[in-house]
Amino acid sequence: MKVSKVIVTLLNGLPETLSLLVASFFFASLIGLSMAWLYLRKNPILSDLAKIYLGIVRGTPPLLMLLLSYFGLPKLFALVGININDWAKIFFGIVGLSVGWGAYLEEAFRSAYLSVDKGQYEAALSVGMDVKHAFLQILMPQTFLIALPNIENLLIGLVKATSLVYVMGMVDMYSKATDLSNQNQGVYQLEIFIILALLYWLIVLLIEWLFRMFHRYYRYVEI
Amino acid sequence: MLLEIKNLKKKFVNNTVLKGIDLSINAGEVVVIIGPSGSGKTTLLRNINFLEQADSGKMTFKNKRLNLANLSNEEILWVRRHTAMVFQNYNLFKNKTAIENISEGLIFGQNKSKKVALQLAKKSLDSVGLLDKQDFYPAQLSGGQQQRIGIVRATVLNPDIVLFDEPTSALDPELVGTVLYDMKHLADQGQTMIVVTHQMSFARNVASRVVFFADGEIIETGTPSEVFDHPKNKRTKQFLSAIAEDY
Amino acid sequence: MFDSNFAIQSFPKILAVAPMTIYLSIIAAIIGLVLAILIAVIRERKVFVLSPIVGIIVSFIRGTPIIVQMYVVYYGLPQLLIALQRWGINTDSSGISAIIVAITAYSLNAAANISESIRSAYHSVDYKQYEAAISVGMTPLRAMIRIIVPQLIANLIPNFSNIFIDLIKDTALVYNIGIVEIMAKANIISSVGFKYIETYLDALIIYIIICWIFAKLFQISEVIIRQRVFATQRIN
Repeated sequence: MKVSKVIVTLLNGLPETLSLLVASFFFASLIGLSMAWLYLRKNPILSDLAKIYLGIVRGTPPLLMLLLSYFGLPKLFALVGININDWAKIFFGIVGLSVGWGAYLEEAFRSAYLSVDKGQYEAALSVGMDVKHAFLQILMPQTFLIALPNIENLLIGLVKATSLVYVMGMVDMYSKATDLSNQNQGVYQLEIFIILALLYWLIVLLIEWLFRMFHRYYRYVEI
Repeated sequence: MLLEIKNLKKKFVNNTVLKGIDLSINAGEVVVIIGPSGSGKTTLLRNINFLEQADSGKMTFKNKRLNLANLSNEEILWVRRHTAMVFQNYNLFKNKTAIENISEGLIFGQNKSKKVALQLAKKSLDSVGLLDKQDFYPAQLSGGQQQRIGIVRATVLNPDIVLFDEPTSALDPELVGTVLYDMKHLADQGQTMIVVTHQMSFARNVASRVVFFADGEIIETGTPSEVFDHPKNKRTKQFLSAIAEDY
Repeated sequence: MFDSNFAIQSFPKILAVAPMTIYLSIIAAIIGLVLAILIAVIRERKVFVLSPIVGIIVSFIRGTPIIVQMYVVYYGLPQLLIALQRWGINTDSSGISAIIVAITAYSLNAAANISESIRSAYHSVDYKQYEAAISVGMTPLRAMIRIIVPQLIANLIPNFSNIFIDLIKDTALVYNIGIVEIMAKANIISSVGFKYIETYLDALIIYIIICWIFAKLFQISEVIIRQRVFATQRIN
């Protein structure tokens, strides 16, 4: 079997992998931001909720998170009379991964926000900015820059975790590889998985390169 | 009278930092506050632009009467937009270039257009000879340069009062002079200033009035010559003789 | 809807295989740590040729999903052993158990991750500490062992704890090559009556408890080590 045929077959699963990655990261960030905001409201009940959420996710294998989403969500929705058994599988994949990664992103955002120098906020107020602009112009950009290395690691972790959606029968790059290796009755299996690994590596190297470029652009901003 | 503070009190947990301060400043005056570390000088300054909130007291600023224990957000913003502050650690916005640091307050505090703000910022940066640094981030500047830009950031807003919180304390000795020079230049132009500092020579030469502060109270106030050469209070004398070698 | 009786009955059965999860994680962490120290030394000392090669391997391992790595080892290890046989080294490729495959894959994965943590912990020790040690007359090796390494260990523990917890969670994938641990048992039991959610919730609870216990153990050991090294606790 030709290497090029393997690559083409595996790349057929790339769109599924990428849409899963982008959508999950988007919703995970949304969850992370809103949880961080709740946490920082200093409301004891809300921050306890955020703590429990983080504690549960920390101890949950991503695979299990996906399975619970796939098998559990239909049951939960059935309780309120909504049938979601026919919804696209990618929906359950996105929910499982976003809930998992949202907790880690929440932690990254919150710790970054708390480590912004308090003097920066005071300086913003002292030149007459209102609280909203002080947040948008000064606190938020600095929070984001501080959180960047963690965000990069989490995004790379998410790339790798997308391979787990095979458990719900989604056809991503990884599933294409297992299908191909089964079709060939055990020949070239090693080659298939090495090529698959190289493809994932390439995606990760690309992400690392993008973050490096971004970081270089802001190299003089020392926070 | 530009600013008048009456009976300002402030407590941290169970530690009284300000024990009923009365202070008034006329337009054009340079008031220098001296005193031992931890006596509450900085806290007093931070209570004037409400970076900290007093427990009680009254303030009259530009003929507007304010109850310090009960301020509305509009009042807080109004005072901050008519004052400016220079910080001990400069606190230049780390994610903004030198020129953006200066234009930021004009845009978001005074609703000037970005174009006008940048023009003004450029002009004021030029006036202190730092125009070549306009696109540098704070991390690329020396402490002295950062603090001089910090002063420009404050004065470009055309504030009624500039509050200086130990502006030279974090600087290397050889950089102190340039910053003090800019401050003296500002005073000569008639800028109203309240300065908390340990630079006694600055207090002696530039101040129109010196306030000696200790243990959360104003102990003595007068012209530089009155306070430095003929201190009336025992604690003022003690403080001055303890730091005698410094000035 | 939700068969709570089934969930309760299944719980002890799944718990019974938890030692396999823990066993795999600990063995992989220990082998990984030893390899990681080697990798970190090679990379920090910039050993000729070896350092860039190791660097690429670490990047590769950190950039690929563990399940893919597992299959690469699963299919690659027998072939490697056959190749070694041809070179005259006596190996028996027929006897490779799934456990060996899992331990190999997870150890390599842990080694790559731990080596990066060791390096960042090493960099976070103030270099002046080393200079001070040399200046009082210590040999470089002694300065390393007496001054740098204890501080490095204290800095390493939080990251090591995270990597170990990730290992525990990642072992949920070894059922794919036929090892019966928590995830596998949950799958086996649920496939009988198609009651997935019950056993998955059991598994969730067991994983959370195991991860929590190990996280606490690492936290406590960090406090103890910090007290011994710095006579102080990290303020969180």
